[in-house]
Amino acid sequence: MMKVELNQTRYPTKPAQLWGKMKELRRWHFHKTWEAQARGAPVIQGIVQSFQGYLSGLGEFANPSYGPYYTMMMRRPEDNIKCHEAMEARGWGRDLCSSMRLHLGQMFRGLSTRGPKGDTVIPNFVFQYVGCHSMGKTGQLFTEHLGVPYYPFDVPYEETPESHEYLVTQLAEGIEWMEKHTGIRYDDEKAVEGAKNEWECYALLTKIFLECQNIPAPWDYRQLWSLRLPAVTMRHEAAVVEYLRELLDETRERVRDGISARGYEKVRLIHDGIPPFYRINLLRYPAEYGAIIVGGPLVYGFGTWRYLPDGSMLPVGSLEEEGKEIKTREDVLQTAADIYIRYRWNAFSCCVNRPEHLVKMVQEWHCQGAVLHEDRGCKAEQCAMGEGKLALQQAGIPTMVYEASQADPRDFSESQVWDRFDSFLESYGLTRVDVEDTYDGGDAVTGTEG
Amino acid sequence: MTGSNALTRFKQIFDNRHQYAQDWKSSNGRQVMGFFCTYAPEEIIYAAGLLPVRIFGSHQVQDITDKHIFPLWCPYCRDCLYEGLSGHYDYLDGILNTWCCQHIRSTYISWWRNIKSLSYHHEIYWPVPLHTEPSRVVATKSFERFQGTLEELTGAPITRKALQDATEIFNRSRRLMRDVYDLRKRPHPPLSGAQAMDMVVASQVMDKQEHSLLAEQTLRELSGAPGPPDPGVRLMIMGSENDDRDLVRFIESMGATVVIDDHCTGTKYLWEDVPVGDDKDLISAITNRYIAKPACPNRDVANPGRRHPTHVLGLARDWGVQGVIFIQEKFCDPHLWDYPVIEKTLKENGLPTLALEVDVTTPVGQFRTRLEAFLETLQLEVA
Ligand code: SF4
Ligand code: SF4
Repeated sequence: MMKVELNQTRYPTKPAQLWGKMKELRRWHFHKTWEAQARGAPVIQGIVQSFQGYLSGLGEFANPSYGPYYTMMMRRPEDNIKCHEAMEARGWGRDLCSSMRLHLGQMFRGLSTRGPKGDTVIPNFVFQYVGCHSMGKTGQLFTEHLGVPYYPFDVPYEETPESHEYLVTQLAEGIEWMEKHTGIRYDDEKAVEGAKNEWECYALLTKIFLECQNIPAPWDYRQLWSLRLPAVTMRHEAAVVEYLRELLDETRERVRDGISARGYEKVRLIHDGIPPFYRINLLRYPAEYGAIIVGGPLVYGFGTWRYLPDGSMLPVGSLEEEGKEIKTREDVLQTAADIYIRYRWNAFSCCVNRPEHLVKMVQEWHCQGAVLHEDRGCKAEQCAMGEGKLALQQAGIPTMVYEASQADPRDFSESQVWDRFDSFLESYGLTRVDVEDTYDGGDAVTGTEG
Repeated sequence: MTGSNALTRFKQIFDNRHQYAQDWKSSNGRQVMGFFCTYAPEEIIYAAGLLPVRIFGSHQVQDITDKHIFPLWCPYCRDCLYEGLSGHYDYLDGILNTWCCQHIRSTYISWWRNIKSLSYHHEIYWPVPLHTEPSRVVATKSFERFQGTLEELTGAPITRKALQDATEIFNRSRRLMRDVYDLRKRPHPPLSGAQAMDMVVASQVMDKQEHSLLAEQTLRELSGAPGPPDPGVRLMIMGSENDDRDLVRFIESMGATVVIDDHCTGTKYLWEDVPVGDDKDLISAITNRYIAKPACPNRDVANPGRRHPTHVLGLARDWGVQGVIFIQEKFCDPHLWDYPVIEKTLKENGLPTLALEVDVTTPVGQFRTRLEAFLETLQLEVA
């Protein structure tokens, strides 16, 4: 095990100036989502939250994932559990992905289509990329239940000439399919605009994540999880590009001024796996010991990177920096394939070199340990995680694993998880410190975006 | 159980499958390729001169895989890893995974990362959903790329003639096994479910030509055989990967005969042939067979067009099934997603079901009571 020199510096901290703007954008998204259909815009269900540039060829569209209440369910465990029970009563067991069970449970309880004012919003169609077994099946069950059309499509985990072409073809066919099912003519100009914004959002996020390599880190995982939200749901919008430009400026100012996320970073950690959203503040638990979780594969995966076989991640720049142009529908489709096969950390691309990436991430983000979430139901985001743990251990990097799930609070054993965290943090020689948090950031969680 | 020399031989070979493959390797002087999933295009491997051998677990309790694959993953995939890590497959020259399920993909990754004796590993990209034109195109190209890697491995091109021969050999093997399966439609099936499973799992580790000779012998031995006077309740088994012949024997020992299955170790392996004729592009024909065969739940995601429940119902009807046992590997989410939908279809069609969750070993005592109750209900319904 590596010898860890504790960094005893107490850094200044400061609330995020853009916190309010992030919340404003979230509200905007919420209204857009639930008022869209009244304006004649299509409502697209599915864990999409990707391909927004491509979808913006439809003009205004709403994507409420699989319903509006996922986040709320994380704050209301009793309601959450009722959804899981609704699934179990129909025969679907607890070993399935908890997020998808939660979505489907809401569907069976009639919540997925219930708008915030009690109105019913039936999606025009479900558009689901099959990032894992559970996504494909969830879309299928939704459409069977709601009686709406389904477009499942595939994002290959591996880049080959044929896989790139395959995604492009599926997306091209998807345009015809969407036109048929919505009666809306796909507008190439709007798609080009959306695709450019999407690209820029990714590039800006990537730059923000890179700044977190600094000591002290300007943001930790928990803060990034919230701050990136507008870019998860609306990365095709110019307003979000603007927001991220401001966020990058603020991030760089914090780096320049030595502003830290949590005040102390005696030990810097990464977190791998999808965090338990109903205990999202687990991501800042180490702050109680003066340690921080700087980031991890999932959150940094919301940027675009060139993933090298040795585990390194090289940032993908803006359109201008990359000398890239998006002008036509074909460019939109090719760009989407570039992003989602080559540059995004999609559910599978990470598997084969996951161990190398984990080790490099710890090293390049100047961390001294890793926390891994063994999620009971998700088999996509943790494929080869065991090998990752081994690689970390072989590199002398202290590692802890906790068992839970991302969306079923019944899978979280309070005493076991916190005990494990305490022993892990104490093993560095850390003791609890009295750190005043910079801001809570506690209410913004979102579902699985893949 | 009917006495048949050929069926006994299948069991012996599967029980000694590592020895069989090593003997084959030394007597033929050729390489052996392990594969994990029945979407593996074995015809191409065989045409390259290699023996394709499906990797199975050992049903042993073990604790060496936990550091590679967490315990909340399907026992079968951990069991297959155990077999690899413990050196039982050290004779393999390479391994192939056709991407179907994340669990077995994890096993594949752990294999090549940790088993140093392998000189080759390859993963075939296998698309979802499977029945679209773009998927067919990418699947064909994935098979073609695999063919190229095999040619590099052996240093020799795979000729059209070799592919054609291999295709015929595999089609013949599947046809013969389906003929044996047809015997199970009889009111008094001349072979048990466990024996049928011996035959099919043996076919996944044997040279198909040798297997077909034994399958023909089986047909000769069984075609006039009367079968047991009271076969008991006619059951179908289905669900996750299942090569647990002891479990099937146990089920059958309680007054039942398993007459048909829907497992990737059974019918899913031998249904559908490569549609050869004047087809110029054999790789494309081979791809079409793997697309057409009964789908793994992961590949059955369309709406409309869900295929699995209708297919299962068809099997149950054709083989005169009275009840269905769903064998679910713990944590096997692909099959868990489909189970409630299939159960509903079967129930609506008057077919009772029983779900058994299995691990590497079978909790016989626990299952006995549930099986007894299930079979009793079925007997009452028949009476
Ligand atoms: S990737 Fe994991 S969390 Fe996301 S849908 Fe698939 S199983 Fe669920
Ligand atoms: S389909 Fe099920 S049994 Fe087969 S490898 Fe996957 S999880 Fe295991």
